[in-house]
Amino acid sequence: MEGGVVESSVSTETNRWEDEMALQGCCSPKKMPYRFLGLALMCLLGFGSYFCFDNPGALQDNFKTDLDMSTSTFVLLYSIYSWPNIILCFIGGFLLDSVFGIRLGTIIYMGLTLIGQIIFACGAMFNIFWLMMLGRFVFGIGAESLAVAQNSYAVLWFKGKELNMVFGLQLSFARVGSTVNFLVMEPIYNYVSNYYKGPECIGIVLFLAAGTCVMSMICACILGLMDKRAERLLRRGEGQEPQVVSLKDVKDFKPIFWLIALICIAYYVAIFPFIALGKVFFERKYEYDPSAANMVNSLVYSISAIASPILGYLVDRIGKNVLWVFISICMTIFAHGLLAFTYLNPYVCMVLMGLAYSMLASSLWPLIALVTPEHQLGTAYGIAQAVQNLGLAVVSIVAGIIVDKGGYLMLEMFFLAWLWVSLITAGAIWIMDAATSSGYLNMTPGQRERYEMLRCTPESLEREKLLSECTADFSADGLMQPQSDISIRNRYLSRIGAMVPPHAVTPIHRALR
Amino acid sequence: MSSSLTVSLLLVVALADPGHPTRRTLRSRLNPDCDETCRGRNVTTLHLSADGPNDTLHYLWDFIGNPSVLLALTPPSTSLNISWEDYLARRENSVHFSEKPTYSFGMIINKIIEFNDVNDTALIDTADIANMNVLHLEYFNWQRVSLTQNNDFVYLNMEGNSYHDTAKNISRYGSIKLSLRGFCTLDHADIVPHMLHTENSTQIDIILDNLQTNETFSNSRFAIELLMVGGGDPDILMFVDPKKSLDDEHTPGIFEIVEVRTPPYRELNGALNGGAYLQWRPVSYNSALRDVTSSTETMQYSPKRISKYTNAVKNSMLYCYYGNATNLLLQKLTISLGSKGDGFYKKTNYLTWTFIIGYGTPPEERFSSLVIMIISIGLGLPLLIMVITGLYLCIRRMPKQHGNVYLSR
Repeated sequence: MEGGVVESSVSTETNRWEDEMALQGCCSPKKMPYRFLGLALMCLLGFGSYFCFDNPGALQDNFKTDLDMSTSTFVLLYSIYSWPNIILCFIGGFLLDSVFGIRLGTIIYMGLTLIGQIIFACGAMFNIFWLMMLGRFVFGIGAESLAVAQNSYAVLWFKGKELNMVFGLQLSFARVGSTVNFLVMEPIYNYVSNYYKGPECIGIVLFLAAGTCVMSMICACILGLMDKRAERLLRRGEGQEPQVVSLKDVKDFKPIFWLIALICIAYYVAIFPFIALGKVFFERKYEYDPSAANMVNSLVYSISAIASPILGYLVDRIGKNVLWVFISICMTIFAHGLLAFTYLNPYVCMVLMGLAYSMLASSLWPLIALVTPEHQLGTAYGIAQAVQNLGLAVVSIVAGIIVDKGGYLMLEMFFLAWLWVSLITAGAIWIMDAATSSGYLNMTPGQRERYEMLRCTPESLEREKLLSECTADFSADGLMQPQSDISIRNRYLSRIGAMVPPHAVTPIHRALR
Repeated sequence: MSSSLTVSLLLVVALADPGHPTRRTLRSRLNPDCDETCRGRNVTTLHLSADGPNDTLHYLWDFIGNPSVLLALTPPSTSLNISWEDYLARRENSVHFSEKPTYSFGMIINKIIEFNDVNDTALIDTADIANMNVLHLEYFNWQRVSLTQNNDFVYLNMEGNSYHDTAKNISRYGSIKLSLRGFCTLDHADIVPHMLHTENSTQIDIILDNLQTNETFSNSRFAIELLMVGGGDPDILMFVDPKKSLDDEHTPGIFEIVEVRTPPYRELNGALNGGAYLQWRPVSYNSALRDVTSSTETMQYSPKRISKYTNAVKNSMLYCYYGNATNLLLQKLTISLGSKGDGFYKKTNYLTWTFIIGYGTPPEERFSSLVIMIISIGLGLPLLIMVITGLYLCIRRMPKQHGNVYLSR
């Protein structure tokens, strides 16, 4: 019954009425329980891929002994994951917009993730290295594009009110996934090794880990059904011209989007590669023993798991995303500066960095949704993630070389330089936003609403119903897309008070509110 | 590897702070004045003299018996004489200078101690004899691998193989590689850990390569025992001073430098003088790459006085010089290689230790000009941007105010 094609107008009317009833009930897509069930599913959606991503890391020693791997071949298991995704998650995001659509796309990417993990497990079981590499490759394609789909889902369902918090929650769930992996994989391995030995043991453990992907797959399917129901009941996208998404649209992305993408590179390269090299730094500079060094080093992750939803909630209430981004970059610069030039207790520095990182993660990513039309969200998040992957892949190598040639002081200064770049970029976003869209990005939620209302006035006077549609996405889709001449014409028509063809009123999807 | 070394050497040279005025002229001779006696014998004694304006610094590197180094400060144009027959027979006073040195100091690489680190503490517990083996370096067969001599530096590479302890009849495979380097300027060495050396110092690099460990020891680690002999108040212990710094530019990943100062000695005119020093970064590399990931730590223990000459001293070049002189400083210093959780010696069967022995005050590491440049750009650029944006905003605001003023009129 879900989304059956309705032909006659009579049955449409009955359906409409039924839908109105459904909207009143407790399972209404507008009500809290439905949406928060959706949120939980969205978070669980990523759990499997984050859990399985770090399987080799959690079983590093076992991989090396059971499969007779050297460290350099072991590292390849991670490289084959990250390098292709410099390009592939952009393509994944684009296909999400243009071909698959969010629901099917999510299921396909989740399926790829699951298949990849299974191939990987088979490869380990029979100890065939190229099969393992193939598995990681397929897994990587799926997992990274899945993250893009996850972002798009979040925007679709939560844009406007809780988006920052939802991004924070997704981030923290990703951390939970990888933490749980590190905690449980070793005991599972030890248990399985009572019955099986060598490659078989690793293979079976990886098959068990694939169970989390199956769980995520089920979540993807349920979420797809829920989204479909919500779309029908809320008449999301009804009476709209279907948007033709083409790769050429990329050139029409707002300059602010590219600046945000630049921050995605410049900021994150000062966090993840640092953590990758951080353990030895804490051992040597602060004379921590290995376990304490690990503890300080992973503080950024553990803090982000707790703080990002909370900070996301704060950003939701206060708004002013650009200001938050700016503050968190300043805090990170301060924390890195303390690490580089003082002997202050590293716990202070890392807590500071962890808070800054969580704050940035939950205020930066939603910005993309504010400057990109909805039908291009997948592409936009795909690009952001792809350039971030590119930055991380290159900088991780460069950082390793810097440490070997010039030491950690040099490395810290390298990171500080990147942070300066991101700070200046954030400043540029601020100025540009103030100059071109009267500071929309840096408004409080109230201001944003008023601003949108103001922008919507000509239309809303005509038809009450439009109001809600305007408030949702006007800024992103109406203002941000002057390139579409249809929308310019429509806006012109509505300004002069002429009737706008009804099917072309809102050329965009509406966010679920 | 050599190309990367050259690159890093060039970098180091390019970045080294100029401004240390003194420079010494190096002269070096292998087995000086030993023609007939040394022919056909495996003798390596290198005499290195560094002539400064007011004095000459002599180094004698010797590999007969226990490897040892003698450092002597003499008036200029003092020559060294060795009576070779006596010298090879390790008789006293077979080494002497034409003028009495104002200061002299010697060091013997006395023992390599293998210890079984049962609890992975990386600390050598000297009380536990059962878990310790001692290798005496005189039982290695020392061969000269290479010798590079010119006016700027002297490199001597030695390799000790086929250990055979004649007294206890213990044989071991594996080798110890010793590289000694003399310099004429203040600079960073070209091999990691890029120690900062002065024109008054010698760098000694020890590599324990594939050394056979005791089969009954599960967690073998090695320690090196140095024996110091020479001038200075024998009743005062040498002063061990680990210093922390912010800068690990030259020795990536290492923020500490350990200095050992000999007790001050009294010059002829009555002034107290600092004497000699040892200096090292507490790092040991477990692969020839010597990068951060292959580094582990070293641990030093407080020096111990020794009451009388041991056989180790008697079987070294230092005895040839000092003879049975009394009132000599005689102390031993132990340094263990490895740190908790690094997988013990068996992980790679390779460990290094690099230290500097020198005369005078140890040089202070400073931020290199590259670091200073980056810091100043890092602080200057944002300031510049702030000033520019400030100016821009002022200029932008100006006509606006004009406009307002104009309107309000």
